[in-house]
Amino acid sequence: MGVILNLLSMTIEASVPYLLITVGGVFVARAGVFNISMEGCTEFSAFAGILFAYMTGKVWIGVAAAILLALLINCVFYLFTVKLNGNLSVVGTGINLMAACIPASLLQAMYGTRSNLIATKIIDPAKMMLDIPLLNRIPFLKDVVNNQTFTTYLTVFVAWALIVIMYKTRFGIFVRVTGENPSAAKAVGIKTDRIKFLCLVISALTCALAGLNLSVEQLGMYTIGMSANRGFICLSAINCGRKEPGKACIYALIFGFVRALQTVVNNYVPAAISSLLGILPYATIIIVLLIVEAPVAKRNHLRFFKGAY
Amino acid sequence: MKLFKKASELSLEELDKRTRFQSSLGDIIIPLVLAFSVGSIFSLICSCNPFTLYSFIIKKAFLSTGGLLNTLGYATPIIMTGIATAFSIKAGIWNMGIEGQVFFGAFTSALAGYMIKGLPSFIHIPLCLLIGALFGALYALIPGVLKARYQINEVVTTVMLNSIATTVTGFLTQSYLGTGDAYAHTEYILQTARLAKLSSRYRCTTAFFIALVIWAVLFFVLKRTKFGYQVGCIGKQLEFSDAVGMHVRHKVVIIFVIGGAIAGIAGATEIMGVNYNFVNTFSANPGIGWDGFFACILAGGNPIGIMIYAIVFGALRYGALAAQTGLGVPLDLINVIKSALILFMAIKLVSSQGKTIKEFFIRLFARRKEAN
Repeated sequence: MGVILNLLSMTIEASVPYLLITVGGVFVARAGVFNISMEGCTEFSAFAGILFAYMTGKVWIGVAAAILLALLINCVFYLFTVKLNGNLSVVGTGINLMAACIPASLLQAMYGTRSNLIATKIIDPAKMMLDIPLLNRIPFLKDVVNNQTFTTYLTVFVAWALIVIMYKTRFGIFVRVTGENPSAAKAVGIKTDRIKFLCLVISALTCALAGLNLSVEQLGMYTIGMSANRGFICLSAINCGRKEPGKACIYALIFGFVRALQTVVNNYVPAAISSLLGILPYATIIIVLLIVEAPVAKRNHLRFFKGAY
Repeated sequence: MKLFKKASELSLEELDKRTRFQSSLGDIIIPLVLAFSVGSIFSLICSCNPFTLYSFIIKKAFLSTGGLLNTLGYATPIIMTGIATAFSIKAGIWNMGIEGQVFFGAFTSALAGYMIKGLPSFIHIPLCLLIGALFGALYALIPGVLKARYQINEVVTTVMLNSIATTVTGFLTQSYLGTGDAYAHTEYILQTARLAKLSSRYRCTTAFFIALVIWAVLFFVLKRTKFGYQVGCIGKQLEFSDAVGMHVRHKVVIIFVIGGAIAGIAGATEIMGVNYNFVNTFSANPGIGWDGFFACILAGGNPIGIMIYAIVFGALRYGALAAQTGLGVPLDLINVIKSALILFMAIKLVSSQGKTIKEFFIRLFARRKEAN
């Protein structure tokens, strides 16, 4: 029983970044922009959060810096792809490479190590866990839902709010039209570029939150390659969920569960095999993609159709 | 005969050709300048004069025989992975899984290098290369079939398969094939499986000629055969190529398999010529598969461009290592320049925005004249 409760609690902890990146990325995908730079955006904000908190000694400056940097990166992405007509995948690859090397070079230049920056002096990850007064008395929920980070509770709100925005507001309709038929949207008078920009801003904010959750809240330190392909995993979650925020969130939860399963099972197997468990999340994604896409491919009467994107 | 005619003497067709050439030249030079200025900013942050850094890299990488051999040695696998990516990029497929295929090719050829005993060198070397190519191709078959049969987006699957490849090979090396040393590595390959070095002190091996042969063959296939033409067609108009009967599904799988096989050979030569054993970190910062991928997208899938960029990347790789020990500059600084280059190359500033920029400047000068 204890194991299951632990697993559920870990699932919630692990799903938070997935959920955030997914629910923001859905907007970008719906607006017809294939954005693979979410990975880099998350990495950059995780780095900026820790770096600025470490340099100034104040956590809120780190948080602000992370959000600003994420916005800056998505502005660059917007400028290069939508405004200057660069290839989406090329620009995304460039940003991802940048996210892999700029933190490393800055860390080596400033602190002499290229692998990590530990800021546990300023940020105590144990204090980041919130103890909610009413929730900590309910028998089942107190083990699972209580003692999570602030972002966890925020995520529920953000996901709900963004789903509502997508389906119940004018802006949501504009986003969907922009993605489905750009020329029609332009003809009706929707400023498609502006819609795409706003979607990228939403994605930047959620990516920044995800990065902050990874580095500042969960560990209090930054290590190179911290986002660990989360951007791509969320891309596949969006893909599986057919770009609908609700469904995509469910897939994000599944991937979060698998990641939690890997961490929990790790404690019960010999050390030699535990490194092999690292493939579990990645293998799951490929299998899930296969299960989701195979029936659709069969129904498709065209001999070859360009796929989801 | 005059070499350079004045613009007024040219025919309209020649003029068009000249402006197109100028704008394509501008598309290469302006991104280079911008990327190196971004690199300079980071170089200043790392408290190193950018001009010292660049001249140091050029001096180390090109201006001596040893340096040149090292540069070519570092460029060898990048040429192969670059041309391996070229097929998929030409066909509009974003095969990012070259790195994983390099890992599998390298791993299997390292095993074949010491497990198969008693063969003469001229059989053992091709056998190892073949095994590397075979396993690279098999590994590339997974995303290929998923893409062709089930239309699953290849970006996601290939990135996931990269992570799986590094984890699995690392796990096997550590748990079953390790030699009990402090760091995990397989046994050294036999003398019969090793590629000869051109000069014992430097990195360049006979693998460079293998790379040249592969490059030439694939160049020919891309430019001069029916298959190469069809690959280009698939990239431009997928539905149309399928409708006229090009068997796009088969072609997609074949493109993936060719890429995987060459990536496998690239990994194998890296083991057989340079490392002699498989270590999980043999391809890092950012990995030879990734470097080939970047070279390919910078060149836009053009084989000659890939060759040039591969050699430049080889020089940067060697120069960065030399600069780290010589000037104390972080290794990753070079990757910053690379990433900025990719970003600025993507937008083709001159050919797409050239007119607006020109008009802007003309208007600016006109206004100034009015003010005067």
